[in-house]
Amino acid sequence: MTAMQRLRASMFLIFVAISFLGLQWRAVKVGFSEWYPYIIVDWNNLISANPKYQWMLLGVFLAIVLFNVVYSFLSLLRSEHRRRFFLVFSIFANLIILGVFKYYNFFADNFSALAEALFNITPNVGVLNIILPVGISFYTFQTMSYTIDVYRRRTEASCSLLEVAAYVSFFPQLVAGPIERGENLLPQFQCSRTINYVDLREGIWLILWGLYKKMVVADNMARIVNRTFAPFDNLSSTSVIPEDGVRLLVAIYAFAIQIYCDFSGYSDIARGTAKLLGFNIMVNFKLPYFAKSPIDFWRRWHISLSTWLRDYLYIPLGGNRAGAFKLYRNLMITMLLGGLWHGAAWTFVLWGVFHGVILILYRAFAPKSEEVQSNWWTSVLKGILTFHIVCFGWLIFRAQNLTTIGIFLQSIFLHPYCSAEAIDCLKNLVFYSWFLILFQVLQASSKILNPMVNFPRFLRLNVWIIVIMSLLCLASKGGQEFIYFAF
Amino acid sequence: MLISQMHKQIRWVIRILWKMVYCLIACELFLRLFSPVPLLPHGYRVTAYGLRGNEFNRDYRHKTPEYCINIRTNSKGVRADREIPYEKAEGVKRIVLLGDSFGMGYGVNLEDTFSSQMQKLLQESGVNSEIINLGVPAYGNAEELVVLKEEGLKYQPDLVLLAWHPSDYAENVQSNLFGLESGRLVRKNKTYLPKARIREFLFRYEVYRWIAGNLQFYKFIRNVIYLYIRKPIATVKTKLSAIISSKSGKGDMEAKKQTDQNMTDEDYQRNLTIEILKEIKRECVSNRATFMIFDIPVKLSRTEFESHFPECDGNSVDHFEVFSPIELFRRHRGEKIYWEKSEGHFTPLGCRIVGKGLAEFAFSKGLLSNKSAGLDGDVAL
Repeated sequence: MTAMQRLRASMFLIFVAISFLGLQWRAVKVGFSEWYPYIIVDWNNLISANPKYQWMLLGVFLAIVLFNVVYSFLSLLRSEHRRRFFLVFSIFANLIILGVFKYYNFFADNFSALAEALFNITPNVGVLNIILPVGISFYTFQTMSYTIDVYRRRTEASCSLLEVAAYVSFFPQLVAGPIERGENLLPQFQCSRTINYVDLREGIWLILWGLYKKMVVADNMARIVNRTFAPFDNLSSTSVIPEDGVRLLVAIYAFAIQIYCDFSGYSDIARGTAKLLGFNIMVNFKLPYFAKSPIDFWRRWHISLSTWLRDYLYIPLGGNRAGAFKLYRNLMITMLLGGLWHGAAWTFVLWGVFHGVILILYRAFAPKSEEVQSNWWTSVLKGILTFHIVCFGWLIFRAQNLTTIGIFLQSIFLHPYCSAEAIDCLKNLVFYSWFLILFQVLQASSKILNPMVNFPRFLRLNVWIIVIMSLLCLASKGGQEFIYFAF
Repeated sequence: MLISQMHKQIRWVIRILWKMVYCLIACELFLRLFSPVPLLPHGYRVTAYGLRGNEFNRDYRHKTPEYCINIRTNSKGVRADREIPYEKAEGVKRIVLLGDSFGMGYGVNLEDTFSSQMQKLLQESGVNSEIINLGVPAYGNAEELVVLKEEGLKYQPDLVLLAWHPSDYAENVQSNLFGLESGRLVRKNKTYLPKARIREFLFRYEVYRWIAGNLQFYKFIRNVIYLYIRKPIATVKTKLSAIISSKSGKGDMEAKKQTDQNMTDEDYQRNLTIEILKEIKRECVSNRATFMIFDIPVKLSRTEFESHFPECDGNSVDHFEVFSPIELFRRHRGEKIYWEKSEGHFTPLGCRIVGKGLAEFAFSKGLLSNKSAGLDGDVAL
């Protein structure tokens, strides 16, 4: 852990403690004093280590908030025409900010490359030498959902700058989601909250479980993944195809576990922290690797983003009610933009396209079979197949270039040999993830996301012991940044 | 009514106690199954010369996920399976070994320590040698100098071998036994007994010995307390004292840096270490013994090692005979020379390599020859 990470972590913890104690003392009164803690954003998370950017990024953040507050005022206008105009203006402003920070360089580079390839000219497209604010994709999408909901009259417009600022900068989920909806979070700022023992226990459990997923599972998986992918991250050294395809396959499985635990771990910590403050934020993951179809997977993975894309992109495009062609087109556009949301790189675009194609194929061929009652074995086989499809997607997601994807596939299918290092990787994978898998099987079989509530006391005690001891003993020493902080 | 209430309370207390005991057992099991902790208990005694010393006549075990070894000390606290009189037998070449846990031979049984290996090789080569291991865990060079004066020289050594470890830099300053004043080494304190008295007290009891030697959870809790409580407190304390001293202009480190206001902490540690080593050498030379340093390398990986021994000007008196086994280690590419889950001491293989290297080095440099030593001369006996 770097000094900056440590500082950030300690600031976060101090902030949680102060906010929590502050709320307890103020005994859930409604008013300004209620939500001021959520406005004081941990700016270390939003800015890079370079202090010269912090005022600019603070400005960007405040601009986003202001756009939405101004829009809230304007939404009170009676003329539908004007309301629509200001909605488009607000969305445009949000997208411009996101586009400039996140996608400008990507499109500029590709435009230059294309112009050079097609017309043999090198256009003078400047490159912006700016840093990407952490979590910008999350909070721009969150603000956009608010303005659209206000326009659709699903959420009541808030004319309070502080209220909207608190909603946008609600610190537990600010940097990596879930992308909260105004209709869920805003009313919680307005009403009184009570924190009882059950909430307290559940909040602490969620934080510990999230930390376990991140520090014990994800960070240790990262060691396997990084070691295996490292030789391929540099294009010049990728000429040799590894003879032990099993090792590469294990690395892909490890990445599937890493990205799930990394992201869902953060979501759990966010939910737990919010719970300690008396808030309920949405569940972002529902056992995604237990999905039995690609559609099912997207109902369980990053739910806040997939429902966002469904509500604000897929359905407005026509959804599945405008014929087969439009359905497939809408699916492809949604998944493509979903991929691009993750980052400005062709591998993310390809990942989105891959999932788009899979969903189209599934829609085209599978609906009839879905109606058939499947037995346990068929369900398991479907689950395994879906998991491997998703894993292929993760390979595209993690690879730095297309050559790496080719090398991995060649090695796995043409040289499926198991080296000592592959066994070592597999041992580590099982060692660090066995408890998570066991717990998830329990979650799936009991059909409850928090099966702890149904566990007998004795079992609960053992689970707490395992989680706490694992955090103290098995947490990876190096410490890794959350993957989704980059988005 | 009252009795039933009392019964309830007793049941409640029993339930809490049972839960606590169960938690301890479960934690112990967890550690044993998933993350074994090396158990290297070590009791200290307070010596007559005001330092920590090994306990007398002790026989105990070190258990780690990688090894289980025996440590035995004689009536003088020397790691040996016999009594060693101060008087030297006729024709015997005596080597006194000074050092910390590396020197004492943590990680291996007595017959596998590098000192035993060196002795064996010397004897096989016809040198009637005897090595007296005066290593004490966590010692720095400052303590080693005191031990040499107070104890080591009584053994009438022909050669003094010092196992030098990079941790000695910090330990020399920490102990505050010696300091530098105008570049000269001066004795600052008579004693240095960090936690020695409490350890001496605790290790008197068999129960505590058993806990320290067998319960992984106990060691784990101590590590956690060290990592999350004592270390941060010590860091804050050091920083505070640095701030106070910089404000007052006469703090510890400031006083230590009288000779050179621009001297950094690292420079001070280095200069102090060199001066202590020079003093050890002077003691050896004035007692007709040669002096040799074994520079313990820092392991970066199984194939990469690093020396942290201070470079110093090489005039005749201050020039040290330093043996570094890095080249020998590199020849054993990929083999386990240091234990990897047990605080990083030498494995039996590491000790064999070091023992052989030391014996060859001592031979090649003539450190055990029969010439007499000159005060300002080179390292010839």
